[in-house]
Order: sequence, then structure tokens, then C-alpha cells
Amino acid sequence: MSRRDELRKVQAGRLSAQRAPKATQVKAEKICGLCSNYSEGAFSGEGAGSCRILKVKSDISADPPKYDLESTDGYQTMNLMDAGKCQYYEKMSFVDKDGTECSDPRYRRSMRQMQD
Amino acid sequence: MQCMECGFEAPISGYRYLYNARIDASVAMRQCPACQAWLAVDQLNEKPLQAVGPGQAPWGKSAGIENLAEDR
Amino acid sequence: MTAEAARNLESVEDLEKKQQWWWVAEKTRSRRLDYLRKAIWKKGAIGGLYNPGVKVDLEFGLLAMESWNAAQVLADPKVIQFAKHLAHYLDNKTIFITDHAQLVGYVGSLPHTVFWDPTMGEMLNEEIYNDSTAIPEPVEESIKTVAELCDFWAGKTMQSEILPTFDIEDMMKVMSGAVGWGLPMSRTGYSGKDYEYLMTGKRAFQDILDELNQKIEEADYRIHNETPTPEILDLYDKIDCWEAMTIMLEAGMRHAKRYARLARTLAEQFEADSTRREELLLVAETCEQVPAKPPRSLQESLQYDLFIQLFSRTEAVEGAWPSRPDYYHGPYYQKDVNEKKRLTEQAAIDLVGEFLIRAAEVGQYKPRWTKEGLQGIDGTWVWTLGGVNKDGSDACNDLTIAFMKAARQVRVANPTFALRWHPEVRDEVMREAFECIRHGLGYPSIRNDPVLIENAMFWHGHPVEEARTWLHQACMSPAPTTKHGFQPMRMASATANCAKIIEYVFTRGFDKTVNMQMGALTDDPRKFMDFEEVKTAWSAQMESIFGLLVRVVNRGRATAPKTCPRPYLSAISERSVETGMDVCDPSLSRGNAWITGFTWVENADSLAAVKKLVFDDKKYTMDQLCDALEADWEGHEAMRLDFVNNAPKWGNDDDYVDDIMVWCLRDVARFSKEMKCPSGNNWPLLPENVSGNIHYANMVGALPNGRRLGDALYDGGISPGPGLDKKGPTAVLKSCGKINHVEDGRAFLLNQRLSPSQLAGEKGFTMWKAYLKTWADLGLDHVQFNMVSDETLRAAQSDPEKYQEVIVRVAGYSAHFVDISRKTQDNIIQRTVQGIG
Repeated sequence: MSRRDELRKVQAGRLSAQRAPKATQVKAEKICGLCSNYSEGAFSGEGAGSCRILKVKSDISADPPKYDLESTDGYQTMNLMDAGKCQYYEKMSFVDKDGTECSDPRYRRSMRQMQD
Repeated sequence: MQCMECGFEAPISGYRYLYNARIDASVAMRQCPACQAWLAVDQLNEKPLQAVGPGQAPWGKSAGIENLAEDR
Repeated sequence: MTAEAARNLESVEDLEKKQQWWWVAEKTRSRRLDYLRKAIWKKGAIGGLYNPGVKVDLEFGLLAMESWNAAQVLADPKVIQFAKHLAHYLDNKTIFITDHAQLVGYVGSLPHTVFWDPTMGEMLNEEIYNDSTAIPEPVEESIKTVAELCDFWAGKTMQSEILPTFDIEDMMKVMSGAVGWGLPMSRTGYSGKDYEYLMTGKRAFQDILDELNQKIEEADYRIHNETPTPEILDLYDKIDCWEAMTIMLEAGMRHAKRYARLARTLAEQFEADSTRREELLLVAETCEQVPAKPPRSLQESLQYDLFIQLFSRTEAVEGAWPSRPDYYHGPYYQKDVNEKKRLTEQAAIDLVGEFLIRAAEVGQYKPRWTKEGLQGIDGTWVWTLGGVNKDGSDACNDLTIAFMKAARQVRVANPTFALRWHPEVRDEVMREAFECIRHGLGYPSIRNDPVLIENAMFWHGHPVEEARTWLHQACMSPAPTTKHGFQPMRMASATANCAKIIEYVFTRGFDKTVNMQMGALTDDPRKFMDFEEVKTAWSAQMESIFGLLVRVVNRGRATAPKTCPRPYLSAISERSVETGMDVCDPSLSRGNAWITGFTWVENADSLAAVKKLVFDDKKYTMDQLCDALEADWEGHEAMRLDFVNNAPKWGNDDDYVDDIMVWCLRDVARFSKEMKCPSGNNWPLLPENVSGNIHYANMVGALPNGRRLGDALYDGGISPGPGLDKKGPTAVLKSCGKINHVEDGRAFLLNQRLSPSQLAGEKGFTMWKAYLKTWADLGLDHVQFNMVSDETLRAAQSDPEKYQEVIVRVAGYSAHFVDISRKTQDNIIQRTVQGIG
């Protein structure tokens, strides 16, 4: 698969997540946003981010999950994505939910769905 | 390193790095993951200096009259 | 006695002595201004969140859904369909008139709301759905409405339409947010206006409408009566474009009439106070006159301008408010106050102050990256004062002074002013500017008019008469207000997080925050044998980042007329009225593009540190440096301090590092002339920051200047690192003076902190003028000042309630100190307070 194809697949995944019906969204128990390997993107108000372990060809929603540890670009995922099957999941011990400071991709999860 | 607010103990890297107090000094702000207090930390000696509330930071970079940097 | 009661007993003189200017303002302004100032809601965000009580406005989305559904049965061309959406909103939105107000209009439906147009993009819609504080009461019900709007517009938005038109790799990089800022759409960014067409009293909406109808009639006649040839083919699109423009102008006029009707109804049926009744009738009369017909008075002129801006903000999310208010409204002030004496000076200041307040209250929901990058404000409303006329004579007038007096009374943080200084500016005007700065407003910034006029001619080839009309298109960049000179849309995507250039030299272009290969795959830095190799890698990364952003914006500009037309902005632009082409069509524009350079100075300081400690002193190897940077300096603190304290830093008049800064700028300038915008013009760099230095703080890794991931980046433009300018203000100016402010880039922001007590009184004014003389002699193009003491700022941090009105200059804009994040506050306190004289 060429890099363009890979990226096209990533973008399609991201756009489809954005277009998923909001009215039916259910928050999973283990989500990427609560994993210490997840990093929020700069445009992260929409919930997009990436994984520092998994690479672009991974697919943690597949059954069984597909893990790519070799490619250059990171796996693009979403804050609220179900990470229940991911074997690299590491629950964060410290989450910053205060939205009045600026982006801290490693810690901050200030979106409404992440509030207690 | 021990948090002076709650007694939590961890290596310096276990405290969330926030930002420097000033780039040219070895003082940085870190956050205790247990009680979430902000601490001014001596980075070289890995020791907490003080808990820092709003308006109490050892910031500022000045000399001369009224903390001015004078022409020289 | 309460603190408030005690303050009420203090005289204005006492408060002035204590430099508590916000209380002075409250005690000295008129009751009307006091009421109006306190009646507005702050629309800027603190970090990523809006202030408590500010809510997203759902009305546009619901009305747009209604008109979309209605439009499905009509086969309208896209541009007409869009114009009809906007017209439907203007015809049906909730309107209100604030008590005591003489000027009317708001972009949303209620004063505490921020406008939201869900047709813009799914990313923004998603963010609103995720917002933890701005969903209006009742929250559960509103979340359902937001979800319904998100679902309805999913796949139908402008974002959905434009994304497939871009190169996939480029767009993924831009959407990572690591190096750029925003999406390249013509409905988000900074819209210049053709004020020479619109604001000179020669025409207003009805005149333009008549002209458009004639154009449509002529084109229609040609289509049906000429022998069919390819030459008439473009007339079909032109007719659509003209027709959309007429829809917008008619809707604008109807909207104003709704206000006229509301004001008249309130006056005739509800208002008991006779004075207020007269005022409301005057509001009605004003809205019956403008924007349909040209204004006749200062009030009508200001109301006309306000309507123009609000309609534009209905059509697009505008992050700036380019304006030259003293120049275009000045003749009406002259007539009303000085000639016909219909207004007293204070009454005029009340109107001007209210105009500032009406602008200050504007709020459109912004995505997090904008909220964080423009903390405390909705957008950069940098209004341009002073300057010269087209013939080069001094353009300052009595309204220039009135605006600055009004600003001290209303103390809004947005809009702010920038004063076009030139050698003929009267002392009286400079005195007013100084008073604003001394009162802690942080504005006006001072711009060097002769330098910037020459710069506009050098970079973009604007003829001198057009260059002299320039105003700030956003925070800093000059743009003419003429038919071919004005830029209808500056897309923010060409905003570079420049610290990534030097970061990528050490990561070979891989970005560890967004986990992506972003920059060029340059050589392994561990193997660099000399400084020239570092410079070569730096150039490659610079070209890679700037090239990416320019490519994307060029593509966005080229496709904009088709993918996201601007029928309203077109309708108020001579070139579109004349040609029937969308205002963003690059063929109509001379081109005035620039790359905003956030986080720029880190490059020079980092390169100097590498050169000094690795290659000159050979104290460290590149291997050691790479290890330290990869570890984010963790475990290398002594080495980090060496890189900060034992390497030359920009801003100290030290040629070692200053030469590197100049080399970097000239390398960019070379590339700026190679890159071209879709109008065929150059892409110069403009270093400045807004609060991008805080927004990006957690996205830029460790750098050789000694910063770590998370540390605030420098405060921007060509300002030295906070606390690193140790040799005083003249040394700062001398370093900056080594840059050629005409040929090395488009403009260069310089922040300076001065001591409020040192600059008190007449002596302070004299010292400040002497400082400015040095600044001008060295040929710098910009400087702005903070004049609030550390003591006040620290007190405001610990007791924010008491210091709600303290204003600071952030970078390119001002904000209330309590409205910016803690890290941003600390970054401002860290800046060196310079003693002058």
C-alpha cells in the first residue's frame, strides 16, 4: 500500500468518525483518550489524536486487532475510540481535565465526555 | 523527591513537568500527581522548593531600579 | 467599609497616583458608556474554554437547516443557494437593542452567545458537541439539538467539500496541527475589505444594487440576443454571482430595517423616558438610512460600518477586523463636531466608545486551536490609526484623538489600535498614544509608516498611492484598502510553527507529538561535522514546512471561488461588482500574501548555541546534544543551563547570534521570492505570535536554546526570549536594527515591557519619545509596550476578582489579564522590564 493510500485510509477513518451519528454515541469503558500512549492532536477539540506505540497500518477495531509497529507514521485514532481489545493499552494514572490551560497532549482530556 | 503538600514520594520524573520558571535558571514547575499541587522544583538537585499558588511564583527577570534591566 | 465603598470615596487624582487606571476610567466615563461597557459579555477564551455563562448560539444552525430543506425543491446554483441561507438568517434571527445603546446589531441571537455556523465543518461541529461548558441551558436538551445539527450537516459542510480537493498527504499534515494553523477555506480567516469603494461616502448598498441589476440585465440581454459563441459562456456564472450579491445586499438592507422597526416600536410604545425615546427614534432613522444609503453623520457612519462587519461575520468566521476608522469616519466627525456642532466632543466620544464596545462583544465559536492561540479575545481586531493620505500628507485628525480618548474610557481589550507613526505626526497625537500605553492598555502598537509603505511596494508591488492606504489585515500585516490591493481572505493555514524548523533538524523531520513524518528527511544530525551542515538541514526543513503551508493555501485560494464563494464580500468589492467574479478569485487580486511566523526566534538562539558549544568551543558533541534533546534534557540539567547561559542570545546586540538571525531571515526571503501566490506575487515571512507560543508549548520538543517540551516558547516576532535580553532596551533595538525591515520580511513584531513608575508624568513622555526616535532611526517597523508592573500582575493572579480590568499586551493583541491562562500570565511576567533613558 503506498503512503498516499495509507493516508487516504487514515483520513477516511477520521472523517467517518466525524460523521458518525452523535445522537447514538456510547462511550466505551477503555478508550484511547485514557491511555498513556495517546497524544491529542493540535486540533483536538474534535477528538483526534495519535498513538506513540502503534503505527499507521494498525487497526485496533479489527477482530483480532492488527498491530503495526514498523511503519514511520503513527496510528491516527480518536479520543473516544474503543480500545478494549488493544494489547498495548496502558491506563493513565493522571488525567488533567481542566480546559483553562493550553493543550497538553500527554495529559489533558478536557472534553465534555471525559468529565466525571 | 517528596511532595511538601501531601508527602507523595517519587523520582522527579514522576511529577508532571509543567514549565520553567525562567529558562536560564534551574527552577521548573511540576505538578504532584497525587494531590495535584504545583511545586517549584530545583531541577539540578531534584528538590522541591515551594508549593506555588497564583501570584506566588518566583518569576521575573530584572535588575536595577524597580527591577529594571538598565542599559549598559 | 467594603473595598468598593472605600474606592468610591477615593478621588480620581488618588487613583491616578496609584495608577489604578481601570478605576479612573470607571469614575470618569459617562453613565451611558459605563452601562454599555458592563453590559457586554467577554467572548475570549481562557486556554481552551469560554468564560462561564458564554454559550454557543444554536439559532443559525436551526434556521440554516430550515432553508436547506426548503432549497432542496429549488434547483438554485450553489452561490445563490448559499446567499439564500444567509438571507434567511438575517430575515429571521432574533434581534435586540441594549438599553442606552445608540448603535445596534450583533452577530448572534443574544448578547451572551457565540455564533455557530454548522455548515462550516464537521471538525468544528464535533468540538461543539464535545464542549464541556458552552452548551446552553437546558443542557440535556441542547446537547440533543447540537447532535441533531451535527448529524444533519455531516457530509454536507464546506469542509467535506474542500478536503477532497487537496493533496492527501499535505492535508493530513496540516490537519495534524503541528506546523500550521487552521483549514484553508475562504470562510475562515482574515477578510480585508475594499474600503475605498465602500467607505468614502460615494455609494452604499442601494447604489451597488442598482449597478448589479443593470449588469444582470445587460448580461441576460447578451445571452439571449448575441450570436452564440464561447465568449458568452462565462456570463452564466457571472449572472449567478451577481444575483447572489443582490440577494445579500437586499437582505442586509431588510435586516437594518428590522432594527429601525424595533427601535421605533420601542420608542413609540414602550419607552417612558423622553430622552431615550428621542435616541431610539434616531436609531430608527439611522437604520433606515444605512446601509441602504450613504451615511450623513458620525452615528450613521459608525452604524454603517458595524452593519458591514456583522454581515461579513454572518457569511464567514472572521478572525480579524481590518479597519482604519479615523480615516474613513473622520470626515463625519469633522462635520458633526467641528463644523455643524451637532455633537459635543464628549457626545462623539460616547459614540466612538460605544462603537468599540459593539466590536468588543462580537463572538463566533472558535475551535480550540484558535481559542488557545488567541486567548482572551475573539479575534485580532487591530484597528489602524494615523498614517498618511494618498498624497503622503499627514492623515491624523481629531477622530484619531477621539478614538484614543474613548479607548481609555471603555478599556476594552479588543479592538486594539496600531498607530501608523511617521515623522509628521503631531505631538498631540503621540501624547494620546502614550497616555493609552501608560494607562496599561498595551496599545496602540507603533508602526513605522515610511518603512511599511516601502515594504508593501518591495514585496507586493503595490503602487505608492495604494500602499499609503494600508491597514492591518490581522495583527501585523499591512494591506491596502484598494480595488486590486486588498486581500479578501488571508487563510490562517499559512501560519507556521517555526520552532519546528530547528526541532526537525534534530529529528530528521519526524514529529514526536503527532507521530508523523512532517518535515524533510534530512541527514542524521549525529554525523554533522560542521555548522554548515546544520544550516543546510535547517534550510531544508524551513523549505519543507513553508512549502507545505503555501502549497495548501495556494490550492485553497485557487479553488475558493467554486468551493466556498463569498457573495456578500463580493457585493461590497468593486472588482467583483464590475466583473461578476467571486471576490476570492486570484485573477482579480494583486496579491498580498504572507506567512505568519509563530515561534521564530528560537531558531536563531538554538543555532547560535549549537555553533558556539558544539562547533566553536567543542564542549559537547552532536551525539551528546542529540541524546539530551531526545531525553527532553531530563538528566542533562547542567548541560541545558550551559546551552542557555553560555551561548549568545538574540536581543543583546551580539553579532554572533544576530548574524545568524539575519542569515535565517535572508534564507527565508530568498525562498519567499521563489514561492508565488495564485495571483503570482511573493510570500514573505512575518514573524509574530499572538498566544501561539503558549498553544504550541506542549507540541514543540526540547530545543538547543535550553527549552523543554512544555515550556512557553518566546513571546514572538523578533522579541528576545523573556529574561534573556540582559543588556537593556537599546541593545534590543540595535539587534533588531540589524534586520532590514523592508527586504528581510513583511513585518517584525517587537514586544517591550516598560516601567510604569519610571515613565510617569511629562518626563516619562519625553523619555518614551526619545526611545521611539532611536527605534525609528534604526528602521524598525513595529514595537508595542506593556506598562503594568510585576506587582500588579502578581496581585491580579492571586486576587483575580479585584483586578478584572487589568489589561496586558500579549503579542499582536491585548487581553484582560484574568482572561488568559496561568502559563500565559507567567510568560508575560517573565518578560524583562526595561528601563529607558
